[in-house]
Amino acid sequence: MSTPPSRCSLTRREFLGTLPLAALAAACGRARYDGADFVIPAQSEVALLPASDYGADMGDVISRGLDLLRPSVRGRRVLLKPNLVEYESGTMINTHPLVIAGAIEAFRRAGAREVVVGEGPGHRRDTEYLLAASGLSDYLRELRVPFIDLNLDDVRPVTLRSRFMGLDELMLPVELLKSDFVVSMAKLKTHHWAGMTAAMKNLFGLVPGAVYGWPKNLLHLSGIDSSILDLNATIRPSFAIVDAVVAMEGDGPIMGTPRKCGFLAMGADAVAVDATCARIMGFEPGRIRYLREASRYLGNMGPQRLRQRGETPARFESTFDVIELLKPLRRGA
Amino acid sequence: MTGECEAVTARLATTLRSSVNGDGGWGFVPGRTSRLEPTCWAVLALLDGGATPEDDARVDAALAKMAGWQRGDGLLSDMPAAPSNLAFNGLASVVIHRALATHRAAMPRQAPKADRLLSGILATKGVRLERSEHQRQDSQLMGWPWNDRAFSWVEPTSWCLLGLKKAAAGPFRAGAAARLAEADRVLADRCCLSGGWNYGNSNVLGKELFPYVPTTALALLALQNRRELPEVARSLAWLAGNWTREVSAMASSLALMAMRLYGRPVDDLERALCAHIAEAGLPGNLASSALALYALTGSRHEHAALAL
Repeated sequence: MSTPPSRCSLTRREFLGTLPLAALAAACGRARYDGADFVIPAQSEVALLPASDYGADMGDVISRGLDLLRPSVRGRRVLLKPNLVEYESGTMINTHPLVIAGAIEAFRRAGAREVVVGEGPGHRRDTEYLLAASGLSDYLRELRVPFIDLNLDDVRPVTLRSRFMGLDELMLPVELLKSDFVVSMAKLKTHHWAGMTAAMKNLFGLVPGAVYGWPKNLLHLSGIDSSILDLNATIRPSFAIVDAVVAMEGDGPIMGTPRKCGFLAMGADAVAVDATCARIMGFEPGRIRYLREASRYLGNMGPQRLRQRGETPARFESTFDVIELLKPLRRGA
Repeated sequence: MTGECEAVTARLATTLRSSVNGDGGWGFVPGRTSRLEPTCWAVLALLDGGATPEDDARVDAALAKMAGWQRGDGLLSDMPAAPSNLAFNGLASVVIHRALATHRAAMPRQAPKADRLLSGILATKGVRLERSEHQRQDSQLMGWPWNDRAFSWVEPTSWCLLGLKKAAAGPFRAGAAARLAEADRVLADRCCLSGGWNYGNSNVLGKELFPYVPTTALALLALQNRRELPEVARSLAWLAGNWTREVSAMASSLALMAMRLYGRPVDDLERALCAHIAEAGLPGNLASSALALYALTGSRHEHAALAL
């Protein structure tokens, strides 16, 4: 968790936020993306489903979200990508296993041909331990769902569809590439470098550790915001489910404290889902750099282009406790 | 060794022998592409824990496979277009050194060149970062990163240190002393206040981070020749008191090896590892299976491949 420097010659001030990412990319002499490759929908739907605690029937909650949003799942191979980073008793670092189990049931009910769970834990190599300690392995065994350790999967070079990181390609797991419906199943947390972590940041776990190490240091050194953008532009997850039943505030993504929020956020547009979550956390989404840039080519951030389904954001809105570094991101700061 | 451990060891060996790929290497998962880390652990497990002429042939074939992974810069890369993984290269160095020492009077012709690999490891650098108000550590110190020109982390630093230190006792000496000393300082600098090592920093933004069993065991292996360091004593005590917190094939195997090499009792650890595998089943990851086999056959070879 070292402070990420830029790969090109920029001052720290420029790197930390005075320049937009587009300008940073230009300063590095790289074209960012071809706008013709991306179509932002006129409007994006985000569903907020209440779940007061993890004792709720998560399969039912997620099924209601799928009914509202109607993603095209039938016949697809669905890869659920939870956030499983490291485990420490009493913390709220990872997507809760009951949410993952609920998603498995819901996507099966929705007609998925196959549902698999895949993750490349970002910090710790010992996936066997993480799966057991977090309780996820018990649920997967019971539901007969394979877990794919994306850190160790066979890999293939993939050309990046945007180039904020200054890289042309990344090695990505074959099991990811052969899935035709990727669901980012994030935990809602503050993130001391990126501001927040939700559906978009969650894609870091798709980058294989056996190639790039633990943590995925290449992504940090290339700039966390830039990496989030390039990964999302390239992988284009089909759907997002954010576990905010109990979220994390304070010094996230690891050392923060649990915060009960009581909802799941769902949607096909990860930018819209993250922007909605940011507002609920008390952030101004446009001040979160990856969201601001993503709203230019990947998805919708502005409230006028979001259609909220299920509960209204106001029901869950609260101001998350944040470290000093993140206070400027708050609404009204 | 208990009957349960004998049964677990036999199952691990059978699995390893039956899951070798046609090209001589092992994938992380049976049937997948051969990769460097599982192949390294399999070679070590069969080299020291194997007992049959067929195992010798498997080792030869695996060394030939590894030779094919050696690039112009001396490092091994199991994916042609991917950056080399320095932790796995450090492990490979340990394995090749062991093969040179024990396997045969002469290594098979098709084997990675140890001196070139060591040169490649030495040529790889971690970035030096300015001191930050966010961390207590000295980020100017350079150990080894996972990939060239990235930040130095505990696991690759430990493996590269171990590989170079093993070789330093043999014909390879030139240029290594300064890197070794600095990398020792990296590990000492990153040691958690409680003892033990996180995978990266010991603290960030004023918070102390958690030490973990596998990273602690690995750093202790790399610092066996620095037992006078207070960080080593503190961490050994932490590991002795906390290995039960993380019982898995990977964590317990590394802990078992470290404890044995520091002369600590290992019977409880060995039993716990065997009981875990007997109950949870063999690890899905062949690297962990081979690592566990190597750890559980330690009474035969005393983990000489890792001993400093």
